[in-house]
Formats: sequence, structure tokens, C-alpha cells
Amino acid sequence: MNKAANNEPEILMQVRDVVRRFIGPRTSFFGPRKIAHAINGVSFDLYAGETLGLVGESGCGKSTTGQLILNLMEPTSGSVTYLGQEITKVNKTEWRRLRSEMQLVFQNPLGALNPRLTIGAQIREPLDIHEIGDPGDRDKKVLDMLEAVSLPAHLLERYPHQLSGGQQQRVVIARALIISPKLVVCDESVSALDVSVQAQVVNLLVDLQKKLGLTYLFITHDLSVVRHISTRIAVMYLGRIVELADSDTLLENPRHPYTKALISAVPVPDPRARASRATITGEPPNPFNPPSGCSFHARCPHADSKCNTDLPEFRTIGENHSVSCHHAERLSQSAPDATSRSN
Amino acid sequence: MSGPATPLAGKPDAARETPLLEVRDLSVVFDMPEGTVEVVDQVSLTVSAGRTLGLVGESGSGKSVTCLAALGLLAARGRVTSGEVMFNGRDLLTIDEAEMSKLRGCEVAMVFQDPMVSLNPVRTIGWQISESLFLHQGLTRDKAKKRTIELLDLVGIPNSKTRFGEYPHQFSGGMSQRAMIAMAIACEPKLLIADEPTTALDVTIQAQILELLSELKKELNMALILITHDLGVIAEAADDVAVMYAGRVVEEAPVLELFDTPLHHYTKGLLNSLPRVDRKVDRLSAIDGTAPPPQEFVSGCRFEARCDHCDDSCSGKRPSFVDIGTTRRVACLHPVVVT
Repeated sequence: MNKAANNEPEILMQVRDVVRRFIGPRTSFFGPRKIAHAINGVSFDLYAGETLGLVGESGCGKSTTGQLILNLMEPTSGSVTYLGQEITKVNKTEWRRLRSEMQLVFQNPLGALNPRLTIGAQIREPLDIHEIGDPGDRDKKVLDMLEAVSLPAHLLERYPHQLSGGQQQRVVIARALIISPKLVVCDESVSALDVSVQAQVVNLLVDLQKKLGLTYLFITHDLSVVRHISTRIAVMYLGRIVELADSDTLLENPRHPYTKALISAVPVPDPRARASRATITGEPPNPFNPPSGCSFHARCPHADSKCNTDLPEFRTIGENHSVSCHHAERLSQSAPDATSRSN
Repeated sequence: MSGPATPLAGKPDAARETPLLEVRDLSVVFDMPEGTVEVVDQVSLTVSAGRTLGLVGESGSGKSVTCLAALGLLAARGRVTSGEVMFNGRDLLTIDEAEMSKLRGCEVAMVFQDPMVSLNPVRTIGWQISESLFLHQGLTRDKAKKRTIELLDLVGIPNSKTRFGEYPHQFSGGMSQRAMIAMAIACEPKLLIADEPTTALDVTIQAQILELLSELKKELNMALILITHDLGVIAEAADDVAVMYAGRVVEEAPVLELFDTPLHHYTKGLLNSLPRVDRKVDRLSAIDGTAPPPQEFVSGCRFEARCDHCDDSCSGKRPSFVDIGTTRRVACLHPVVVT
């Protein structure tokens, strides 16, 4: 989708300078408590109808971001607005209404479903809670939804454990979509599924988005899935977004060395591509003890003294392309694959 | 039984003439409350020194159970009902437990998916690695410590002397997996079985661990069995591939040939359903349906229900292996036609 071609895309959600702090254990008995910034100044817009992929390694804060957006967790500072309304400040009744427009689909469907309710009852539950439609019509709606996620009607009377993993995830999706939300946060929604089933669920999510005009925030560690499903991709590292661009731009012309490293670390199902592998050394730093300057400098092959001391600003370097790296210009297409190769 | 008894004939590579491990027609059943369930059905595999066999399949396809059964590590409910596991000229299914214990952790070692669960939380990393050196090689305390520190260096754990005395909770996921690998290679095994060794790790760490495994394989001239569900990992690290589906091997091929021209419709479907980071596709071509659970395994082709190319002959009897060329074979009555 070309954002610039539309006159002005509607901003569904605006996230500005959000910080979320976690307080850790004391350093010693009388010592101060350690503080970790799980989210450290994250800003982005979520446009209506798009899929924003949020990728990064474990502990980078991508799930925390998802929770902050749905107001499941309060930010330490910063603002999250939904259609212009600050979501942390709306009152209870209003929030209840807003919440029905946002849904969440987790990784493990069996954990998200109630083992003692039939599939039909679980899909119907949100309608009852939000008192949507006439009680008599709700069962009909459940049937329609079941069909929309390609599940046979005879499953209505079954219990979650009687379904396969793929079917369970479809039920979770049906339950999330039955109250016609605008925004769906998918937190590793397809990561637990086997490849052949994963493809089915990914296709389903894409179809439903087209049909219902949904907006997805798609959180995952899997760059291959994210490339397939996303309009734009944001890469997170240690609580910050380090690069944000249209998905093709980001994957074909990454400007942050971490994005580059991440892409080249993904095993490609093509044995002939083996030689092009470039790996980075080291591991993500401990958030309780973050490095100075750019948080990636210790693992970065391009780091210099400036990177050790100055935090790079998140700046725009191209159309719909922002990056936080001092040397982003040097890392343009002219220097492809400049990341270090071990050995 | 129309078993795939004969291993691959006329292999080109001299090293592959005498396989280090040869699993023949291995079948495993589990005694469940609802009856006996066959989870591995006449699986045959071979792997030679210095080569990596990738064993790929979706969850429940029997890839882990095959390897556990080969090493006599099945849970109490599991039983091997037929087959043999020839390792270096000995059938591992007939030797007694004492002999097997000597072999495991020494000549054959295994690395599992979740290093944090496999490590003992109340013992230091150093102690846990030294343990197999005490047990299998009878080294003294000092020598074992020296060797352990060498091993930690070998698997790329920095500050090995300090790390020796640390506990598992002080190790990150990637470092724990390195420690597990150090433990596995402590006695320089001839065969290393790695069961989803990188599944729990982040991609950048996964790349490091895969690289480490392939280096160690060369250095120690080990045979490596890499069990994974990830075809990307297979493409990255395997020399030969066996694709498993519903308790059976359905296709075997050298890695390049498998990815270039998959012959079984399941392999082809699997490859087509993968989203890829290196190219953009409009729509993923998913395989309809799901893999059957072991209770519903049929005697005919088990992929029939999801296959577009089946006919009446498919449901009757188990499709036997057809050799294609000298290096590959496929268990399908209507294999993909290579153009």
C-alpha cells in the first residue's frame, strides 16, 4: 500500500515517547533497586487498515508495547491516543466501549481458551459482555463467524482440547473478531503453529483484514511471516524502535546494522543461499544495565567513538523510512551486507 | 509388510559406504489408556561420520521419538516393536542397559531444545560438564577442570575460568545451549543428536549455534542428526534430509536436490507454504487440513487426505519406497513429476 498516494491516511493510534519502567531487585540489602526501561521512548503511528509488524528478539519490549497500546499496562510516561482520545485517561464506561474496538490474539490458543466452555459459548461470550445485538440473534452471529474462519459448524458443541492447534487459533480469532473490532493486536499469533497450518492462519488473517477492514499490530520474532503480512515494519532493540519503514524497503534496503544482522540471521529455505550468511557476535544487553550511547554499539561492526557516547536520534532518512543510527547514510545500498562475518 | 528395508544402494560418497548409524525398520508403539498407538512406523535412517542428517517434520511426526528410541530413552509407556539400530556394528536395541549407559554421553550424545530445563539448577556449569569426564573417562578433578575449561573455550563461552563456577541461572539462553553442547561433546562423541537445538533461541543466537555445530562437526569428524521443524535450519545446516510425516519417512534426499526438486507432495507443499524473508509472495499456498494424530494413522498413505494427486490406489496399502537415481527415494505412488 502506498501511504503517500492516499491524501492523508487516518491515524488510528498514536504512540508518543512512551516509556515503561520495571523495578528490579535491590543491588544489595540496603542498596537501591535496579531499574530497567522495558520501553524507552517509543513513538509510532498506526494507520487505519494497515498491518504494522513489530519485530525483535526476546526481551526487546515488543509484547510490552502491545500491552501498553491496549491499556493493559500503564506507561510510566508518554501518551497513547486512540482516535484522538488518550486511552489512559478515559473513564471506565467510555473505556469499556473503546475496548470492544480493540482485541488481542495471543500465541498459545489453548491457554487463551476456557477449557470448560464449549467453542460456541466462548465465541458468543464477547457479544454477551458488550451486549451487542439482540440475544436471540447472537447464535446466528456465532455461526457466521465460525464460517468466516473456515471452521465446520459441528465444532460448536466441542471443547477446546478436542480441537487441533490450528482450529483452536481460529476459534481465538473468531472470538476476537465477533464484536467487529477496529484494531487487533496479534502477539506471536502464528508462532506456535506447524508450518502448513501457519500458512492457513496467516492467509485467514489477511482475508479477514480485507473483508472487515481491520488494522493489525503484528508482534512476532519471525521476519519471514512479518514480511508476508505487514504493510510497514518496526524493528525494536532494547526498548527502542531502531528502524521503521515500508516492509519491502526495510527488508530490501535496511539502514540500521541491527536490522541487517537480523535479516541475514534468518535461515532461508534455500541451501544455495548458505554462503551469504552473515552473523553478529554477542547477545542483547541486559536491560538492567544498558550500555551507554547507542544500545547496539557493542555488537555493531560500524560503531565508532560517537556511538559509544551519543544516543542516535530516531530520524527520517527517506520516504516513510526512519532509523536511529549515526551511520545510516553509510549503510545505504552502496555498501550491501557490510555486517561483520565471523570467521 | 512392504517395509523399506533396504538402505540406499550405491551411494556415491566413500564416507557414506559404511554408515555410522543405521536405523532399519524401527517401529515404536505407546501404550495409551485407549489402547496401543503406533507413533513410529518402520523408519529407516542412515548417517555417516562427518555428515549431517536433517530430520524434518511437523509436531507429532515421530522425529524425536525415533531418536529417543534408538538410544533407549523412551518413556515407560513406549516400546520398540521391531527394527534394529546398528551403531558401529552393534545393535543398540539388543545391548543391555549397563552397556548402553557407557555408550550414551560418550560415543553418542544428545542436545535438547530447552537448555534451561536440561541443566541442573543447583550444580555449577563446570561441575555438570566435568561429570561426564569423571564418569566416562575417569579423569581426576584437576584434569577434568582443565578439560572443561578447554571445552568452554571451544564452544565460544567467554571468560571460561569464571564461567566454570557459575550456575545455570547466570547463563543466558544462548550461553546455556553452548554449555549443553560442551557437555555433549565432552567425550568427543562419534554421533551427536541435536533435537531442535535452536528452536528456543533468538535468530541471531540461532545463527551462532548452527555455525558452532557445523564447526564442531568438522573438527571432531562427528556424525550429526539435526532434528527440526524448520526447513530454513535444514537448508542451512544439513547434508542429507529425511522428511517425516505421521510416523513415517516419506522422502529422503541430499539437501540441494530436496529443495530443488521435492518429489513427495507433502515436501513440496511444505516448501510452498513457507513465508520467506528473501522474497515477497502474494499469498502463501497452505496445505489444507492438519496432520493426523497417531490414533488416526491409517495403513495406506497418510498424506492422502491432504493430497491433490491421490487416487483410489493410495488408500489401500502403504506406498513403498521408490529409488530415484542413486541418492534419493520417495514413498509416494504418484510422486511430483520433475520437468
